[in-house]
Amino acid sequence: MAEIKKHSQTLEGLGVGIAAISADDRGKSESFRKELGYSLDLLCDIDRAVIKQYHLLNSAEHGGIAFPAIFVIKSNGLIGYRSLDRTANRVNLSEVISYLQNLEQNPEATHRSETPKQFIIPSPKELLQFGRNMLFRGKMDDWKHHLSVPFATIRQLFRRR
Amino acid sequence: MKENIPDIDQKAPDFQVLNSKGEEFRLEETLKQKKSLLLIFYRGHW
Repeated sequence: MAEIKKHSQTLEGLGVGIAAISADDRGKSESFRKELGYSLDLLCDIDRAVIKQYHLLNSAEHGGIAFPAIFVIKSNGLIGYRSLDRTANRVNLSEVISYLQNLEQNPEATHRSETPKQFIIPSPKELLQFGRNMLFRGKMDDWKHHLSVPFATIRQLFRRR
Repeated sequence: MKENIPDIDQKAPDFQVLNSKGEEFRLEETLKQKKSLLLIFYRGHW
């Protein structure tokens, strides 16, 4: 989301609206929006209706959250760009922006992007934040999910041979 | 499951949801006012 703030002027210049949706409640979203210090719509899909409608529900974590994904929806309602990321919350915004610039010239342009599953080595700062989040805000689902990851990885490695 | 996720050249499913300020957001209405919309699904803020 910080990435979006960085590119907000470019996006505004392109006449693009921005809306970000999560299962967070209004209080959490509003404090996050203030923290970002940038005016964008943070949508609160508390009952996960939209996340389910788009088939992006990750029920294994935090009582059900959204898998990260980006769509560019054109004014005619058609999806022009789609990017799915099952691994992490990494947004490749430069790709989105070059798509949007291309769309200016060619209204028919489309682009589909998918990040392959990969191991990400977190920085010490990210690890610290993750640990703190798990300790203070982690739910039973999160503990189950993260504790099962090493076993799932080992199982996958054996399956490949 | 993944094949059910709306794909390019398909119509984005319309929805109505509240934003963090308690205002109503409707996809179709927003698209009438903007050239296009960047819709981001994120994990939420911990």
